[in-house]
Amino acid sequence: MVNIGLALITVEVLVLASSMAVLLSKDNLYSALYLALASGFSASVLLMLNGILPFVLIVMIYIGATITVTIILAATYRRPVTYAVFESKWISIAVVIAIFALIALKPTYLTSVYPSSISPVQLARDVLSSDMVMLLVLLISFLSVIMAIAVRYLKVTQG
Amino acid sequence: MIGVSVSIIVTAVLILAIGLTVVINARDLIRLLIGLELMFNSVFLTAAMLYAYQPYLAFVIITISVITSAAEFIALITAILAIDRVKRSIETRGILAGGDKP
Repeated sequence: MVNIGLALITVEVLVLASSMAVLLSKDNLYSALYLALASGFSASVLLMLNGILPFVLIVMIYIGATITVTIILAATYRRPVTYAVFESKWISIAVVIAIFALIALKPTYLTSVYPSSISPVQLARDVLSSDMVMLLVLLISFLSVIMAIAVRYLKVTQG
Repeated sequence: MIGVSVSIIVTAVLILAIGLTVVINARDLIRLLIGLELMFNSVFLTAAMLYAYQPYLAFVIITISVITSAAEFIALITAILAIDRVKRSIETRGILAGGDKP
């Protein structure tokens, strides 16, 4: 078993850095790209914990579909927009808080963390042999209805 | 293990705060959408922490979150396209309660 404590902390720092880049970037297209990066790092936390199925679900549906549409939307409506620039003192305060937080979290670097023992095959078998299948069918039906309503709504507003 | 769980929750709360700041400072609807999607990342991180203890429950929560967020963002993207067609602008200052003029 490999201790993944330090790797988890590193990925958390990368997620936070990508999120700060989303906040500080003035261009929506770059914000959307940093968002995809942050989401990928968030999903990789699951991968480190041996959660291959939820990782694939997030990467394929959330990043692969939803965020891709957002990136395309941001590229379509790309225009120069001026945003209020944060004062440097707030950034300094944020850096000081981050340093204190890292010092406070130092014991967690030394804590042993191991991936989950459940295998993806076992998880898939558990899910498919339970009431979760019915829930999945209902959720996908709900998504289909929402898509149909969205298409209908766009047709109405077009006229 | 508890310490790492706490650090994941702290990260999730910080990302939620950053997403909320993006939403509050948004000048157009695309930025608002990006902020909301960033806030969903904190949900996934919290579920990742839960996965270490309850893999089955965490997988169910992640599945529901992913499909619900996809439906929510489809509705939001449709609303953005419709607002752009009607108002010829996607800036938030032109949108009031219900999208009506005062």
